[in-house]
Amino acid sequence: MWLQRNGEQERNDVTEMAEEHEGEDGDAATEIPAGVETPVAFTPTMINIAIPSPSLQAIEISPVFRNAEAPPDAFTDDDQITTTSSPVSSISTVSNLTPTEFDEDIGEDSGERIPTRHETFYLEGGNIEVVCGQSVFRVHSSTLSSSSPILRDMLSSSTLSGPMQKGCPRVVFEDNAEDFAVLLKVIYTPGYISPSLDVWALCTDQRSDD
Amino acid sequence: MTRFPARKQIPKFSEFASLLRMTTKYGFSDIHEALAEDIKAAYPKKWEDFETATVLGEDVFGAPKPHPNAVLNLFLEQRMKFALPFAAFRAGLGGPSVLASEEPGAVLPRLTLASIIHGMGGMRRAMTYTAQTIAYTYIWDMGGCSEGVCILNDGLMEVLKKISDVLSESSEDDVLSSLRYEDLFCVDCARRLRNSHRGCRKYIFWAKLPSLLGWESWEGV
Repeated sequence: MWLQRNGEQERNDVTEMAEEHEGEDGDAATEIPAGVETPVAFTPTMINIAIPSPSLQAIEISPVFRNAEAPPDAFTDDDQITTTSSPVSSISTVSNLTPTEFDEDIGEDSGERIPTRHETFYLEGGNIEVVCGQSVFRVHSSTLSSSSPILRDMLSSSTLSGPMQKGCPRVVFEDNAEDFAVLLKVIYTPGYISPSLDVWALCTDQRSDD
Repeated sequence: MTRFPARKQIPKFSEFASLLRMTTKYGFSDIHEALAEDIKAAYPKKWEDFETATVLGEDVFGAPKPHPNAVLNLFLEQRMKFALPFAAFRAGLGGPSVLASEEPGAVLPRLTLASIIHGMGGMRRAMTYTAQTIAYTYIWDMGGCSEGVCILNDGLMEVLKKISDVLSESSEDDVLSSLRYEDLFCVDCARRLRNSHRGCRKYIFWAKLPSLLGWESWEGV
């Protein structure tokens, strides 16, 4: 019904649009690249009908939003987006802390804001303690350093010059404890990031289905 | 066996976001690249990937499904350029109320919000013309059904009804995707209409996606 009532008028409109824009430069975004297989039904006439219509011309982004040379700046609003701080500035060694902040009472909640051992990643065999928020992680520095050049520098022996806690140097990161735990979960999962560790995955029955 | 056997599935969004931030901050390039690889199929940059994708947008993450704005914010923050146009489109699909969400983590930067709203207007017009072009091309350029059996049947009316749907309110990214051409037209017409549909999607809809964030084409992303 719709077609019967409006078909002729619509046809005229479309034909007029096509004629109106005939000879104009095509829309770059809608040109069919050379060598690309053209769909059977996708005729040049159809392109003329669909693309250069007055309505479609309005699709062109206004100059306010167009920033072809530096697109990211066009949509970044720094007062809304929080970015992670530089890792270099986020670390402090135990030498910056008072003795009472980290003592043998770690793990006991005395009402003060004393960091507690992370329930999963306080590894007895670890050789470095990392404090994130209210959690203390004990991990292997070599594991952290092996895939991260930044952590390698941060955890070098020259950086860790403060007093030891139970034989471990201790560093403070500004990161959220949950974020750091997620990172450790991946690092300590065999085969997650390194195909060379596939044999570990086989041993721990972590093969994928395929 | 997959390249990374232990990475059985993409984590839930909160874990993915934590991991992306931490790996960027501390230079875990291997993990970062693996994460980017995981989402490339769901946030395609190439038409061929889009056409063959089985899971798109925020659906790729494990439950709970994140707000599309939160995903877009993460990609903006982490400069994951390849994923930005499609993430912006997914955010825009929900309409103004979703776009302007005030949920924690889902508040878009003002300029981003303005750009997407502006761009979605253009996208809607592009979708409308896609649908109209398919129908009109079939009727006038192809001359309708070569066998003379389809032009009068209900199939064409279904196409036109879909056009009227998109002219009103629709949050679908492809209003004609649900059409079963084979059930509505003869074999030859269905093939021609589907080819026409694909061509319109590629050269009208897909080509306009980068404009959501101010890019003129995919080459600039």
